[in-house]
Amino acid sequence: MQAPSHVSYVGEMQTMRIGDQHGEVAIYRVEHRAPDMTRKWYLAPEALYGDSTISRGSVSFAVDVKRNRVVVSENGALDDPDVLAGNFDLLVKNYRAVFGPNETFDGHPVRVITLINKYTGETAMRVHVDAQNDLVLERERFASNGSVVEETRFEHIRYSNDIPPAVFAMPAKMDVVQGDARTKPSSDVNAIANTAGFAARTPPYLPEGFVPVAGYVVEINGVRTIHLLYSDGIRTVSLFEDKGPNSVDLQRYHPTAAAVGPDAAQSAEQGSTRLLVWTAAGVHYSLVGDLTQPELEKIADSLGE
Amino acid sequence: MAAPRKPFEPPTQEQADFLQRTIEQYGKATYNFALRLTQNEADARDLTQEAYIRVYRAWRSFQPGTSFLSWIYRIVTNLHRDELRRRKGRYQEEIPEDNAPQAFGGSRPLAVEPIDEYVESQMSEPVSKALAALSPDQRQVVVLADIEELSYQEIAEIAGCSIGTVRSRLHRARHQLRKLIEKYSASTK
Amino acid sequence: MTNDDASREHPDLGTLVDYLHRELPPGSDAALLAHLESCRPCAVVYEEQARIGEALRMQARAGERELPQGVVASIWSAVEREGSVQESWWERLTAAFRPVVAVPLLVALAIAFFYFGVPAMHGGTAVARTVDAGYLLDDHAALSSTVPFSESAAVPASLEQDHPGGNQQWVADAGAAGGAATH
Repeated sequence: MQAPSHVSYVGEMQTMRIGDQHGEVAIYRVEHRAPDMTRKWYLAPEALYGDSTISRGSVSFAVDVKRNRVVVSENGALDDPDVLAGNFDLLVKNYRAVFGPNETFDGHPVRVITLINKYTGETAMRVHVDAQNDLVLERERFASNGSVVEETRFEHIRYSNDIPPAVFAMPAKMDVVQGDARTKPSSDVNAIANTAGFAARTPPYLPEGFVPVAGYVVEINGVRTIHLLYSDGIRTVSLFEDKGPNSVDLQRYHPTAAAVGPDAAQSAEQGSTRLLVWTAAGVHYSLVGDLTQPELEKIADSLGE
Repeated sequence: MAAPRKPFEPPTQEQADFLQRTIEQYGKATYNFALRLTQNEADARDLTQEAYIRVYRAWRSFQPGTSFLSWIYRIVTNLHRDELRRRKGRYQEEIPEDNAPQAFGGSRPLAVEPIDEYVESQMSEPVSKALAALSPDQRQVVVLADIEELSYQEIAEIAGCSIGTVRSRLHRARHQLRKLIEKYSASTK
Repeated sequence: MTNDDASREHPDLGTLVDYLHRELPPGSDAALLAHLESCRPCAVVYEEQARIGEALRMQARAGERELPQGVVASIWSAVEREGSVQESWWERLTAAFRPVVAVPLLVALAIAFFYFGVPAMHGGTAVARTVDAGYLLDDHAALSSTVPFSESAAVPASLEQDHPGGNQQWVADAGAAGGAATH
């Protein structure tokens, strides 16, 4: 699902995410043009939803038909090839790749690669890769009990160098509105924690294989917040910390009560991504990631030590 | 015998524009009114959402030149009342007006979530607690008279009662607020 | 009513409340004012009620919340289910599509808007009451997009149902991000 620089294609993709409480399925149409890596996604069928997102590199334009506007966002994280390369090394370090059996998909020969966690022996992910151009055609992610928690795959794909430029054209007569603009993150996570302006903590406990990857300090509505990302190459978990008056509103995600040590917490999920939110000693913490609830709680508990 | 069905009218751009404009101009005020009535975010969100859906459906019945806010507040009030009736088993809807006020915590909120910790810690705590302790009808009339600063006539139209009832509810509410604030102020000293 | 009569007829709380809300008939209004000017105990009660009103308004102002984006999204979803104006929006969208050589210009405009427009728009820091959890999910997805095979890399968050719409305005701390060494 990465945007390859050497192949253009048009396809229909389906994503399915399964959490403990509910799941969600969505179908998207994707048009991708190499080598400038311009990409357009829309919820299919377009006539029903009308929205689409066009991206090139780190900039994306989300077309919001309801409000007749285009929201421009930038993700500096995508600008840094060093971070990308480093994370691939991490994957290789923590996961063992098992190849085969080979298959075909939509007439294309496909290599099947299973990634197994070296510490737990559990199958974490399986990808189907086009043998001719390395495009990932299908990706399944598994829970520790072997059940699928996330599946993203192309239902149809057509390779084409003839995607008309008009497909990626920005619609005229729409307001252009600034959305999120994230600068390039830093890889020095400890330095970030030290610039928070309050006693920010980094978790003493992390699941096996996890290391700090990147982070930044942001201001959310005037409140200085640190965002630290940890990963083992496949799974990721973010830690947000701030000491302002904000509280996190989880209502849309039907939160349930939880606890972190003596402190009350809330947990919720969106697909297979879990959130755990709590306040301790005046600092607001949020953990967001594709870990199990017990794993998140263990990380959270270690922050109180 | 069923009421005759209104002929189906396909939605128009004008209708959608009306909804968008009113959300932009009055959405925040409506949400905050619902929040003050219900004293919790989840119910306030539901009320606001439902009220705007009613606004969308009934958009033609809004008279330009009249107060949109009064109209939507009336809708919110009615929805709130309906919801209280539906939950009658868990919540005592009508407190007879000559009864003693509900002590804080004695009147069970519609949802588990209490008013935000932040608001409580930052604001005038006795006043905040006192308002929360009033009965729903009393709280509504205080919110409309003292916070929204509407006339008794406007409040009567929103609450669907007579001006005399507005007057007597507000008098009792103010009387009880005075006693509650005294009580909560004393307990924080 | 003579001044003597006014000073003898102490108003009850209800009358003071009506007076506070300017709901007394004009004649009674004037008489009550005269009474309050000459009767200290009644004036004290009146001032207390006035202070309660002020405190209620102050508390309401300070506790005011923004309309959550999730509510707006739910309203529109419900409206769409009832049959909304897709046809004319679709017509407008297809009519508006033009091959435009504007992407680099738009990027420049967007960046300029971000650096110059956002601070001007917000005029300094504002205090928020709640942060929609969707923001955290978005930010997690954005940073995770550097991880190979990350779930978040597949589809942009902006297309997901109930997306907050990127309305959380924030400014990255360029000092921290730029100052730290890369690996």
